[in-house]
Amino acid sequence: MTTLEAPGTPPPPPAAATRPLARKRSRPSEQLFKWLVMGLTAITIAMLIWLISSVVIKGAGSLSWAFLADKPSSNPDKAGFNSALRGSVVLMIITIFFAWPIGVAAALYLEKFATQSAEASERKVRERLGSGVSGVHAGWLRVRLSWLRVRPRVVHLVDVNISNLAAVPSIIYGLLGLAIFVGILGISKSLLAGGLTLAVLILPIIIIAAREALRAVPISIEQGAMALGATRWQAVRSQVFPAALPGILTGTILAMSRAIGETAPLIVVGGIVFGTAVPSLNPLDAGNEALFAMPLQIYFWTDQPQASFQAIAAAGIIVLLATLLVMNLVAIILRNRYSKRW
Amino acid sequence: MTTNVEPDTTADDAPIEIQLSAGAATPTHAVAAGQGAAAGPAQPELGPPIFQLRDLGVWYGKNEAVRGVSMDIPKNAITAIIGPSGCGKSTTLRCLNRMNDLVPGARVNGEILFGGEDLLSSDVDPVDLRGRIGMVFQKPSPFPKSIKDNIEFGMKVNGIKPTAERVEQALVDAALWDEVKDRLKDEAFSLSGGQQQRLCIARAIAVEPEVILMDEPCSALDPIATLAIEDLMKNIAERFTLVVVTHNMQQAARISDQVAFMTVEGKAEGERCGVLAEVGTAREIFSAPKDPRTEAYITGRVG
Amino acid sequence: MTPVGDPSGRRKRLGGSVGERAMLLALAAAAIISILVTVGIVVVLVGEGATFFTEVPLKEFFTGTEWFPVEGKYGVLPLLNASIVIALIAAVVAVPLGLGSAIYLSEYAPERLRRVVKPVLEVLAGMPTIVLGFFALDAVTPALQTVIPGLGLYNALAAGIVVGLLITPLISSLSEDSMRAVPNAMREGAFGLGATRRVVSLKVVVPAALSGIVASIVLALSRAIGETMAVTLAAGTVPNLSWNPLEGMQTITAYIVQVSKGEASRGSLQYESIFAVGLLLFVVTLAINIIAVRIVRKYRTVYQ
Repeated sequence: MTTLEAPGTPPPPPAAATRPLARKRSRPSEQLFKWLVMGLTAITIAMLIWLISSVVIKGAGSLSWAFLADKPSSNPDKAGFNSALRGSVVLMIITIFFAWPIGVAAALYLEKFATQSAEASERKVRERLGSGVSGVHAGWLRVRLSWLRVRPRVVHLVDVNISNLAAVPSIIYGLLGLAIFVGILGISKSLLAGGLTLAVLILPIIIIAAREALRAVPISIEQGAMALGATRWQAVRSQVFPAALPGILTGTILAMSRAIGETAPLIVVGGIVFGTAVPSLNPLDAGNEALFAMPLQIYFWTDQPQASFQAIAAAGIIVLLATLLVMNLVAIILRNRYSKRW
Repeated sequence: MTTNVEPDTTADDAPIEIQLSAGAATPTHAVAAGQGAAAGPAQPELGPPIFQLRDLGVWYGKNEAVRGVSMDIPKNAITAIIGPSGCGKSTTLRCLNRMNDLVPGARVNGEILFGGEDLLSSDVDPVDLRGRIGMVFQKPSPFPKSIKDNIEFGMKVNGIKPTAERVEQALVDAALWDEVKDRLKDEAFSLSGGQQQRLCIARAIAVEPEVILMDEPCSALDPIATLAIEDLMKNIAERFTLVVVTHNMQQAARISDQVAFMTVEGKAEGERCGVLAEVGTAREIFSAPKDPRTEAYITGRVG
Repeated sequence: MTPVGDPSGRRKRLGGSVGERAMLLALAAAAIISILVTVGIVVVLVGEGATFFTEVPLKEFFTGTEWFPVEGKYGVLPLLNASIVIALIAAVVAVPLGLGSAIYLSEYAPERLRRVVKPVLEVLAGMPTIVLGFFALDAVTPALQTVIPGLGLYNALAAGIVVGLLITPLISSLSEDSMRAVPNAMREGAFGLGATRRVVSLKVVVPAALSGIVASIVLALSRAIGETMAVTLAAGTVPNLSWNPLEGMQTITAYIVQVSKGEASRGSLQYESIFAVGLLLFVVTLAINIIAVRIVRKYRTVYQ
């Protein structure tokens, strides 16, 4: 024994343990279980690899600049993805134009204003009501008073509602778009109708993402501005919102990557277009342009019996997946570049 | 007890049977072998060592957490490890049943002899070892199961038949039986913090280990619950070797037979590392500490 | 006129300038739009569905075993059955894969590997379902045909497998989150008693995270029932009341797509029928989601 004891002291006799230490032994059930969970993980990843490689193998041969530049055709050798690409671009512009402002505004309200105590405002409104205002003004104040009273319940309802909306199957949004935009508003089955439907579809996703980004900004930033005399709105607009913006944009891009791959709601709203039109890239024309989109074109080709259409469907999928990849990379870069640790 | 280094054959019986008074046959030996601390004189009140730490060191990744700890831990007695926070008390304790194996990046060097065998040796089975050297943690950590299932869990894991008598005995030993005997099927989370901690001790006792390690078992508890646990420690010390990490010197003085004092030593580049300053009987450490750092700590000048 | 220009200046104290107040009003309105979406969905589905049910009695709808719109046969059981069969196949695929991955990532995988594997799995969750449909038709069914001779091009099995693939990351991600929320002290407590890693995983961590795990499976089921493109492409468009996964069958969602592709004129019974089955789909998925939320609320243990 190597000890640091003073010379001359006999080494201490150890007390006996009840039995010698057990040597390491193999536990087959342990190993089996470890291999099992590892294997299940590997199978999942292998399926993903199989998916991507089968698409790439099938579609790579059909990929070319001509494929991206050509319009659709009933001849698979001439058919191109150009109309689908243009359609998807216009769809995304419309979707973001409508979903982003509403989604971010809703998030700002829910996260920064709705939860503030209503007591002070309520007292002030009461005081003014008591101070002898009359007519329209008094009516308005009464409306405000009742709003302040029901506000907490409404906010709770909105909360529950948003999380439920995020779980509604996307095809249901298609039915909503079909009945409202096409049926009631009379918009033709067009890119505009499709874009509006996708906007409704990603609205809850944007609200949830924007709320998370706003929540990540420490309250001290807001309080610091308010301590300098800013109103809450000024503090939120000038301090909190800019700080949360990278996070909001990241969430927005991820929501768009959900929208750009959606197929079912577009079919329900716009049907499947067999035409060979090339839609204009100007979103103001979207109300008159037939509903083209990458996933719709892919679906149309996949549904054709000829094998050569399967190949260009695969090529279309490669383009769609590449687009998604780019969008996700942008989101990741944005997050890493601007994410601050508070 | 023999002077032989080989494990004592008489100890093949259950540890409970071993009488551990200051036996006349117990030879003079040094308990302390800490660096810098001179080996003490004969300490007849402490039994032979069950653990012998030899130049124990622990690294977490690139940080050296503990260096050069050498000490003996006597069998069927309470050894307290005290010292300022960050001195590596818990780290040292967690080496004794190889809990550090579970920490990614942790490396342990040196030797820990358990009954004369190095338990750090790579061919020793850590799972089996932990069944013999139980552990109770700082925060009560009952499983989300019933009180009874909590006790039976460890028994089943170690191949002990979970009979009602054994469950009762463990709870009696942990001084919890009277409080829970009518509600064994209740969720363990329904117990108070102090009760949960005693349940965790009962859970450890039920496995019939030889040693129970306790990592600041009372730090999350109120004074009354703390006293209950201290009493229970003293009661079970006849049957189990207890090694208790505590930051509470009064507690160490109240319960322990042997005290190890660890401290922090500055290294180059501002890094700090835990070392053993002194080890001795509780009386020695608290009345006549040899190491100036120990004296400074226990008189309240540091830490 | 509203007294906007109140000269006393008292308005200002009441909560900022008029412009600011208008801004707040606009924000609140945006928040309320999300409720309007839900109201819109319910009104549209119930409204159009009600028209449908004036012509097709509820009893016939729910007990009829034939869905053959051309002949006016609107028994929804074949569609509902197909949705359930495919969701169950998906669950059979996804529960082992998802739970296995969750246990591996949370309890076994080194941190560096976890950080790579988790995003890779989430790629599957973000995969457009049209891609999974293509994969089913183009790769999975041909592969299955080599094992099961005589398997048709359209079958529930391939559809169920790819839907299972789609929901696997949902289960693994949510389950892993709830497993990692189990405090480490609980694991150490079990290790300290001499438990092996398998026992710690299965007897301590999984039970402690059970509410999250069950909720993740329930949510995944709801997602599987609402899934559209993969089942439309892979399981076919022939209503078929059968439990045989080797047969083709049409789900609720596939029927909606089939009708939408054609030009069912607005106001026709077929047009109304997609809203009726849409209402059924909405109610089923909503019910499942509510169950999931209840499970989490009721059985969640909050660990400090």
